[in-house]
Amino acid sequence: MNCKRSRKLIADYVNGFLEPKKIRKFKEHIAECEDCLQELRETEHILQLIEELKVEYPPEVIWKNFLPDLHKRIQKEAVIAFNKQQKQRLYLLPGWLASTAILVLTILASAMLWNNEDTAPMKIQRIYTSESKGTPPESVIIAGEISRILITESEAAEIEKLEDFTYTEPIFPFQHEEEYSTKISDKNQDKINTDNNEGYIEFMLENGFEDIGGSSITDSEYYD
Amino acid sequence: MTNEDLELVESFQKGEIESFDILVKKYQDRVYDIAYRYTHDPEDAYDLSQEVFEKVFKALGRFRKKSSFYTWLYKITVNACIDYSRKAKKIRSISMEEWLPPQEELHTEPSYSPEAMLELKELKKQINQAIKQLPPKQRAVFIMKRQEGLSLEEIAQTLGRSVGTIKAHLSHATHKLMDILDPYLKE
Repeated sequence: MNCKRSRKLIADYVNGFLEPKKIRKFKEHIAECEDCLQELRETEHILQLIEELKVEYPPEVIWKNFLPDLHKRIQKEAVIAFNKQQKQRLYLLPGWLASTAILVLTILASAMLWNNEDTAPMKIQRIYTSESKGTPPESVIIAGEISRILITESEAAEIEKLEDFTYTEPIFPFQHEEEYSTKISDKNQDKINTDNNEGYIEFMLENGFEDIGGSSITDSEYYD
Repeated sequence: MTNEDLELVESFQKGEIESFDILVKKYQDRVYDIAYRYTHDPEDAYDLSQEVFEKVFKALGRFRKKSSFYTWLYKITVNACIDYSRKAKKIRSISMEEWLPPQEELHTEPSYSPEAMLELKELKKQINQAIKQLPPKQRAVFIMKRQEGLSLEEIAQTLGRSVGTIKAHLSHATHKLMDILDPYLKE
């Protein structure tokens, strides 16, 4: 193995998915090559430092307001969404009446938002219920209803999708399939299909990593 | 899903908004940790965490409990982090001086000389910058593997990609990081 090939294998080695037979050849090389050994040590050192990087938290005075800040953020959007919904309904009224109603509603909603900063969830309920709170059926599904009003259909679809895991095609769709198939042997093609390396080989070939860990070279080439 | 999370989600869906607050308090540290690893900036990580929980609030009414709450929350967080990485420009409303970094970093490796400590600190700063230069998906995969300790299969499932694709991202990210950091290692 030469140094160029060895250096391309370092990333796969340190990430733990270099094939066993390549590990043996790789280790044989770095045992004799000081430069490649140095590069391996540097990579391992950097990865170790990355794993040890600490999370910096904001100052306590800010961190303790995380929930109140979040309430304000949600309320602000709830008021906007509420006004928007009311405006849509008021389009059916005569112009002067609709304008007056919008003004009154905006003032009311704003007053609810700013007057009771310590009881954020309740404010949201008041916006949406004119009845007294706490008595069924008015008190039920309020939270769910608010969240449904705040979210658009496309947002909802996007987030709901996260609940389902479905296999999708690799990130790098191979656009030159014929050209690609001439680059690797049938034997290696089989290996790609069975090694769960879909996407990996294509990506590496496209980026010039012709011999990185994933079987894109033949054994005879490898043991040069 | 833990029974507690399940009860809180169901309670929220029946109208108890306070249940959402309990979920926020329970998971805000974990969401922040993930956000910080993507942003390397307490201010941005804070905003990003707020954005994540705002999305959760909006979507929780529709959550069907097909996965655990945390798995779902984690995916929302990672997606938000990837979107963050894609944003070309950020608007800063508060100067960084207001966010004082903790000093304990200097006391964690007592065996280094003061000069070596400074060099190490500078190198860590460059590492953070280098990670930020990775393309969004490579960065996501790299952070999930090297900092959050997820397996290749878990990453593949989270991002909805094949294991092979995840390997490709990880390998490429590692090479790219080392290329970016090469001048600092040779000094």
